[in-house]
Amino acid sequence: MWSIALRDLQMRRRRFITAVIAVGLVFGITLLLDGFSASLRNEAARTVATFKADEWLVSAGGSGPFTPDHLISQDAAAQVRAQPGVRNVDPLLVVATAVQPKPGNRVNVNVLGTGDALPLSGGRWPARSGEVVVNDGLNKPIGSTISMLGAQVRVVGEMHGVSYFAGTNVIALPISALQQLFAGGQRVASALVVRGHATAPSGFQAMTNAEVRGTLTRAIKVAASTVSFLDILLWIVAAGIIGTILYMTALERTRDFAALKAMGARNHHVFVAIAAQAVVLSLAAGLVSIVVSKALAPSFPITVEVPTRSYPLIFVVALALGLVGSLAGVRRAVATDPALAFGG
Amino acid sequence: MTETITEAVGTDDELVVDQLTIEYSSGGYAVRPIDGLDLHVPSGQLVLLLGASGCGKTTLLSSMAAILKPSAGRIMLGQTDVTALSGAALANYRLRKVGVIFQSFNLLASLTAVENVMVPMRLAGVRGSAARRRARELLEHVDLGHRLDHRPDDMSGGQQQRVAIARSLANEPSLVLADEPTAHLDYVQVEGVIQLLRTLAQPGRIVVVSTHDERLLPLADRVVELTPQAAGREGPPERVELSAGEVLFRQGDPAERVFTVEAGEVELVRERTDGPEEVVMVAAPGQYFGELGPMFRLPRSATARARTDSTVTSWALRDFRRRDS
Repeated sequence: MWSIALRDLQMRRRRFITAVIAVGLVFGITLLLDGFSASLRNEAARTVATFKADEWLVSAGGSGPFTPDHLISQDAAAQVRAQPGVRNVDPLLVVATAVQPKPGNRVNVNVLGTGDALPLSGGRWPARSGEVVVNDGLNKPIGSTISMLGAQVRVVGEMHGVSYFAGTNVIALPISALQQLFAGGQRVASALVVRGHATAPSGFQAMTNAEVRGTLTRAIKVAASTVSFLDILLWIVAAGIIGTILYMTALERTRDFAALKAMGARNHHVFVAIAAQAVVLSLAAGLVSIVVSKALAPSFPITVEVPTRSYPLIFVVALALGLVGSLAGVRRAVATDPALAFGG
Repeated sequence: MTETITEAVGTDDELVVDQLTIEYSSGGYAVRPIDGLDLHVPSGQLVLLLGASGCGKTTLLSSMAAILKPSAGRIMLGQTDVTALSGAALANYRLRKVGVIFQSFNLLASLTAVENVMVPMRLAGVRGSAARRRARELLEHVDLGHRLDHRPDDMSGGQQQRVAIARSLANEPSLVLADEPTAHLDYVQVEGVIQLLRTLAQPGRIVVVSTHDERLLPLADRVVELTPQAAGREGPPERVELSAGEVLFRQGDPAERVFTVEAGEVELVRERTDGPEEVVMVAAPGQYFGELGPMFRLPRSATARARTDSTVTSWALRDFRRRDS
């Protein structure tokens, strides 16, 4: 029956190719959404890892270093640094603002003032006031200038993949320079980045890296669950396309199935005749979806990082949806009365 | 064309049809195209089921193919009670014991001629290479060796019919059923198919052909007329006394006479399959009923039953019409 199913596919190839492309596009979009979800999680992890912290100290009752609602004194860093087991403490000041990388295009950025230089993908760390490094997603080349917090600053270095809150880019500079721009030179910070283990002084609380990542992903939880919901809707659409195509085919092949049953074909033979087409259609759509996702990912405004496991998984999901989608057609085919084979 | 197909021979099974009645619902009304049919066909015979459209030829063929369950009676092919089959045994019977040549050929449009003939063999579990080899041989037997790889759309009606014949022989059945095999063919193609059908009936195989094409009559070892023959029984008018509730004739009975009501009332009721019977008319003194059956050689379409004690006169159709004019 596999050969009958494949021959029929061959005969109706235009329809099936159209269906494969349509379902492949839908699956491709689910892969891209999956990549988008993954990049939301990954960027938070990457940004936290950039600081090579063992733990974070923030104001007691504060929500987190990257979601500052209380400022602390930078001078506390010296006190913590003196604790046994602490190798280093760097103050971190976080300011959310907006910049205009291109005329007429204002975007939100997170400005990080740090005590230590952050890892760069190009250029150098700012050596003097009025210099910054930017995440490459901002598309501001080294040597260009940006108006930020009421001052013109020059880009001297680039970071890669340092963003959070769904691709909001980071601009970094020494904390003293940011204190000058933001707080009139006051020695304030949002958090202390601790290497080693510290006991939180009075008025502070310690947070682990996982807790800090949690503060970043919490803010985009709604977006992530919306993406998951869209995924499910797209799967339903894919199953619907497969189901419609196979049901139409089953309707058109009613006489074929009647003749096959009159010749002695059993229900499982008829099941295979439709299900085999669902399998072929789904797997072909899975292949198309990978091509689609690879082709479209670079043109997305946010980095799309499709997890490696998603590629084999899309075939499993496609197969399952294909078989579910084909149920109506299978039922129709299996229920065909062989007596229909008689008559003109 | 090759004269005989000698290799595809099954067992010496006889076909026995015993008191077969088939009733089904048509538009809610009970229709009984086959009513108490008896038939005995020895192996090697070609039987022609002859009759007009709607007389039950295809219905009978479907029952022989174990596709339609009769309402009563049974069909035996050798030791197999065809009417009692179910599940795997039923599928196995259709696959190995019967070959069907459908009126519309029913070839799978996506498959070539040789692949179509392979289908029953592949369903029966024959290996691909063996099935292909036998399919080629069968197609060469029906003079289609040059069309092995053509699809149905690229073949004439006669060629498609011959592919269907080759397919019906694929699993060496002992019963071959052909439903109106000449219905979609022109006269040139009919000749080839007639010759081929004749060669199929040989010891070990029975061929049953349903048709309304009387050109096939010389083919047959036996002809079964399914159109009611009793229409228009002659004879002088007869007076019939009926008690209340007495049945004059039943729905599906052969139609012989026309009736006029002299006294009382006779109701004509139609049996429904989905509920109570339906009263078609009530004939009162001076009214007549039952003239269409004898006129068109159709079975009775309703049951006539006396509603009260009644007297009716039974007429031969010719006398009735003369009286009417």
